[in-house]
Amino acid sequence: MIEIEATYTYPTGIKLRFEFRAREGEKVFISGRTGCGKSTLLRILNGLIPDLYGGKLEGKVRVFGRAGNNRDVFLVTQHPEEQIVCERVIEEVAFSLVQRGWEWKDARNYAEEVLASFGVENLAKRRTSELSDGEKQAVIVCSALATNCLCLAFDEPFSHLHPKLAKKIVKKILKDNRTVILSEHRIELSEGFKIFEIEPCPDTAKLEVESGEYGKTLITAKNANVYRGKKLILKGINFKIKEGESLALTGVNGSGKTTLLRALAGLERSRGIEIRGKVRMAFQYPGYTLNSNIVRNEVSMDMLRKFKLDRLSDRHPHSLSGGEKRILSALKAFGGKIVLLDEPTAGLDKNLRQTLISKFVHLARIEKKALVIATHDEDVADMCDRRLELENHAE
Amino acid sequence: MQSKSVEGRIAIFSALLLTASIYISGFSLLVSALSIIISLVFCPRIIRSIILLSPMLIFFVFSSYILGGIKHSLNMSVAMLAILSSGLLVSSVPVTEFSLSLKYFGFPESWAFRIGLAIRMFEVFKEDVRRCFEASKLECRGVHIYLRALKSFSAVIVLRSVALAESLYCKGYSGKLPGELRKPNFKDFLLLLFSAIVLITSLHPKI
Repeated sequence: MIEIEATYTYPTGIKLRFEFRAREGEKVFISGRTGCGKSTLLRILNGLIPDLYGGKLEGKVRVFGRAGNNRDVFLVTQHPEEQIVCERVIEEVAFSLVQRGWEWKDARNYAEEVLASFGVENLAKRRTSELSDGEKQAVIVCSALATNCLCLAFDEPFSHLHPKLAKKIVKKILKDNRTVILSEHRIELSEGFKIFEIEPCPDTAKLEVESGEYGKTLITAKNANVYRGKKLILKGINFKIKEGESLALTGVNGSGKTTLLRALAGLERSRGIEIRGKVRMAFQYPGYTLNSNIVRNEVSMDMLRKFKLDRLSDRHPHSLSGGEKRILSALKAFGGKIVLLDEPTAGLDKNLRQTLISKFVHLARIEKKALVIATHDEDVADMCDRRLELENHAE
Repeated sequence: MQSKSVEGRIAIFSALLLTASIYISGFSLLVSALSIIISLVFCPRIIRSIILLSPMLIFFVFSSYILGGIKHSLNMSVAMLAILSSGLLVSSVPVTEFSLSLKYFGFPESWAFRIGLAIRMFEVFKEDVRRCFEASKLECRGVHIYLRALKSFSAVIVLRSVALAESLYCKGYSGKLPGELRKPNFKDFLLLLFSAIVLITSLHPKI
């Protein structure tokens, strides 16, 4: 039994109260608005809070009869590349078993079994650095399933995955007999789970996008080919984007969305693409673009006010939450004439996603910018003026 | 999967023997040349690393020429190349095997893991540096690209380290190394034999 009735005071002084219960073997889906404390709750469960993060935890925390700890709760977080510590897949999956005292041979055999049950036994001998995002995610989930922990906690681990792939992985997780706690924004993944809502997402209205004439053409792709190194990734792409227009790039993981964005930014080799204007890009990992000591030096106060982020103006960009950093990085990209956003809404709740994208589309329209968004999210794609499905162009 | 590289323990031991030979022989041209040939024959892929290190070698050639003339420059440069190629034998070993080899040679297990992890993180940091430069190139020009990339990277490296600590905690890290050492094959033993011969040769007074 997991039981939490506690108040956590963050090192910044903010207080959050948690009341959470889960029985042995239960599957719980945690939902709530961005920043409501879902990750904090999971970190309390496995002892990261207060052990690693500090702050003050007061009240009752019982996880299978003990305080929050990493022996009973295995936590999978959002970025798989930050979780992988071994060179080969088989070592990664067997790693936590070895740490728990298993002999290498037993751990390896068991890891092989888990990989096979997940249908990814072909990855066992691969180098972890060579895996795709989806494969990395599968490896991390397998390493969680391979442990003998009583509870598996997943903190938005599928936010970068296509919904179909995420659903497939969730189905496999549900077959496990142990307690599973999944924190996610995509409610469509909650099938088979008991839903626990920390704080409902506030209703935020979608901004009506101003209609108007598009300006001159800023991006032209005429039978374009895109390469990663020497390898042809996309071929025969045709589209034009004018001033004030927005385009969504959709497709499964590995279909070449990010590669096309990078080609538009001039970071990958391409043929047949013509760009007219200054390009700015927000990467999937926002840390690469944030380099000031203070938020208001990254983006103008006017822009921060428009997106109701002016309360953060004096903070250090890297002290913001993952979602806030993502938004800030996207706003910074609006400094260019051509704005490229790579998964800008990953890890944000549905209402915030909709508000944000409608604001982005609106801003692009009134400031006469060309906006290109790579996304897995169908709702986000629907809000753009046009969409380009890349699966048909992938090599 | 790992048979293309030299076995970890043999690579470390051979690198030590070859490096020792070069020093013992007083940077002899013959011993240095033998060390280079052995390293290249048993691990041809170190050529790429040598090419990458060529600016440093060129700098070394010039500075040793200025300090001691052509003969001195030739001797020292070849010796430098020999030391580099011997060391690069170790760099070709998979990280896990390298850590396990360190443990075999008596390093504490947790230290062997940490050294291996630090080496593995180079790959992640290499990618981070590349991305920081790409982001900077889109924003500024000239020397500002480097300054901005450096600033971003210093923040990214701290965040990555925190994430790594979190990951190790979640996995219940207790300082144990996963994996096992493979048995050296005939080619590995041959490398060890040749390295030993070079060491014996270097002990000869006329070398």
